[in-house]
Amino acid sequence: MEYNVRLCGAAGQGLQSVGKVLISALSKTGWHIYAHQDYESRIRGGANFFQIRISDRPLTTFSPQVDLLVALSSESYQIFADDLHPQSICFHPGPEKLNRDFTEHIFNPETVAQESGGNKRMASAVVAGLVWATVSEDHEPVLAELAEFFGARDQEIGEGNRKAGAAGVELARQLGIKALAGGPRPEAGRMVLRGNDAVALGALAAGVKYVAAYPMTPSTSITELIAAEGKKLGVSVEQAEDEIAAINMAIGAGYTGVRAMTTTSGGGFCLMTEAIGLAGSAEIPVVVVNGQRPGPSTGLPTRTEQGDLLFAVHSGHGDFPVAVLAPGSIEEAFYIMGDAFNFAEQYQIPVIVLTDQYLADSFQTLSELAPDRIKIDRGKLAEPSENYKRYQLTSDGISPRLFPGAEPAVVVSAGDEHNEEGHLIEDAETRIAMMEKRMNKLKQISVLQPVTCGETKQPTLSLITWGSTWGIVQEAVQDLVSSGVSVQGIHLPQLAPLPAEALQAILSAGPVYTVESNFSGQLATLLKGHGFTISGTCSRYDGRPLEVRQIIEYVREVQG
Amino acid sequence: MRDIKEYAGGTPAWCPGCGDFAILDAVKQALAEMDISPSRAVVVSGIGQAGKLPHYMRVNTLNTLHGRTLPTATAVTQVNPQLTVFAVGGDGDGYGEGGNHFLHALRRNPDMTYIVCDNRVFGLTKGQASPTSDVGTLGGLTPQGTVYPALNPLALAIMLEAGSVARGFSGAKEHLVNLIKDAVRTPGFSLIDVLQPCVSFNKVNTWQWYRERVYELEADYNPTDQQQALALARQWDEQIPIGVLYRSGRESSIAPENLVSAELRPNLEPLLDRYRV
Repeated sequence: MEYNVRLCGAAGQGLQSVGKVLISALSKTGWHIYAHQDYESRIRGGANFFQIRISDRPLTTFSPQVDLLVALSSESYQIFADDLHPQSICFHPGPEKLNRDFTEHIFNPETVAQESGGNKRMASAVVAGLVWATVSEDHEPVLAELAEFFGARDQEIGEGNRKAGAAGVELARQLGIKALAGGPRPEAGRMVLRGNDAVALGALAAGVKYVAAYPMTPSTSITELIAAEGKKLGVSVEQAEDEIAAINMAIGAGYTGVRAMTTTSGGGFCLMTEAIGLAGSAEIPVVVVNGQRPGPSTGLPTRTEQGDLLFAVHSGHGDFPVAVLAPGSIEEAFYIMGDAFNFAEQYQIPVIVLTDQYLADSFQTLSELAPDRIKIDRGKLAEPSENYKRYQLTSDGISPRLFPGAEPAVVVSAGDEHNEEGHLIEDAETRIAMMEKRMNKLKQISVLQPVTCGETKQPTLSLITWGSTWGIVQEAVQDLVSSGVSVQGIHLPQLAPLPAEALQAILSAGPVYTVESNFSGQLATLLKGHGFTISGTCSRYDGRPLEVRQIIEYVREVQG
Repeated sequence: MRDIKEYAGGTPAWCPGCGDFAILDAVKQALAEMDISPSRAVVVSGIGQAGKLPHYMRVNTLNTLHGRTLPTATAVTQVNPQLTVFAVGGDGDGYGEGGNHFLHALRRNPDMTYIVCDNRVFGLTKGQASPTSDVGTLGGLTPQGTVYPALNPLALAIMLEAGSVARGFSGAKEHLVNLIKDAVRTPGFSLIDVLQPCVSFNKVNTWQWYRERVYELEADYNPTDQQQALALARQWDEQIPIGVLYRSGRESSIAPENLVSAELRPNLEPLLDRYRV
């Protein structure tokens, strides 16, 4: 069973509030949701949407289908009416009906809100009640959610919203709209959260103590969440003057002895690459989350793309080890932060975590996250001594760390080439020794293994993907396999160092394609550089996430 | 007082006669006199001849990128307030490449001492004009002479009410030692702009040129008068005052916490509860 609701309107009309109330109430009553957001780069006006996919089974991605469209502005329903099908229902504010091949009702939620809740600003609650009535006969869950969500500060406002929600339900009843038949049973031990929430919670579970960031869509809310909780949790958050300061602050904190992070998007990441090199040379752990959006330059500031892969893998000048990780789901975004901080400290390297706007702003019902599954490993630490050498040459290239303040030692770190004590050198011999020491770490770095789905025994073709596109590929592969196509899906949570051997082991004789949201097929380029043969790329680069049907069509096309 | 030998480091690769030598000595002497162990002090530096300073002594060192000294050092103070934090750099590093960070360090007023070895010229890249070079300074990139007026970092810091603002001279080492001790004891961001001849590339502001002009502020000078401090910061050419020009009395705007000793994973239960359904 599946049902898709799109709430649309202008920025500032409260789409997020309605959406959050609905996905919370739906998840509590046992439904699975996957919700994603599509918004323009403006504060007020325009045509944005919050789309909720509702199912009685777990979901890995969104669906572009619209069974119910609730428009809060005339402009938005005219834009999105094209996405409706004959069985769709559409609510919009008019001024007149479109008279197209779907059911439509003109409504003004503000009027209903004024009459029922006593305040036209409670229109969001009317919409939530209306949508809820199309899903379930039991209205209490959404009304309770409305009272809680809007009544957090003022109980009276909560009650008003509850009444407005009930009026929304009544509106649907009067129109004779029936709720979906059946539905799931509530299950215990579940959460509903957004991609950026998962990244922030994962970082906290991994023991982050210092975050410096300059606000940039779509990563800002990661640091905002940590800032809101920082005081209570003993985490320092600094709003930096620019991205350059942000990463250098994180490096300063890492040197001083805590787990530190910065968050940004591609444009900000460009500014950070100088300091990525500093972290590489001085061997100071730092974690950078790059929530990708379309580039180059400012590109499409609020939309999605996976266009920074090769840039991240090659970020910074010169040769030095970097790890690049990319979660394939909201759940993985939580756990991968543990790997990111562990890799950064165990190997004393910069670690880049690539997410994207689609993952950052999507909500999903998922199994309860377990912070204890994230093991904190701070790597090799030294005993303080008078003759401590920060860059001691070791067989594995990893020199035990100390932090300033450890009597009687001093900790000397430098981005300039240095000797074992950390002091500047010019001689060729030391340069070679230090270069080899750093690059040797590449051999030690453990890798996150590729993840597979579909026909993994002897598939006739393989689809390799990375990042948020994994959820979309999973559903496409499932559909293809059930229609008789022998295909396997592969997700690479780690792009650098690349788990090339593990990937080789799971590939069969058939052709291999990459699926990714960028123009040039950056994963394909990366894999070709490691000697893999890639037959083609299924891509999308219009700023919107790939769709399941696109991948299915692509596979059918290449199969002839 | 500690033995100054505790801070002894490698041999400097500066030009003979460079003003940086006295600054290096002054930092070591101030640390020794204040009984701050090499393990408790951190010197953060950038790139340029001045950026090499911590390599020529024994102390915790973080030698970073050109111009990025201040954000890095700020984080060190935030993470472990038990450390005595210095940032050291040149005029190109701090006022050019790092100009934006300088402004924001003044806003944040972190509890640290910022020593700028100001020789009014780019030394490491061989003699280009710097942000503090006077109009008409000839350099490789300004063959007709700079046309922009020199930046006045002291006036800027006084306007933005830094913890303290001082001018030193590398030809007055004992005076400089006192300035450093005073800066370390002063809450907030203490700027010490040190006048320092570049014997290789600055043929105008020589040892002799400074000796003829530099004078020490009187013992009864009141550094809390912002207008007077600004007037002194602008004094140049004939008479150049050295000493603590300004003291704002402003505490650091950032709350340092000892994050190093904080629990690795705090209790996340109340937070996670918000996401449970």
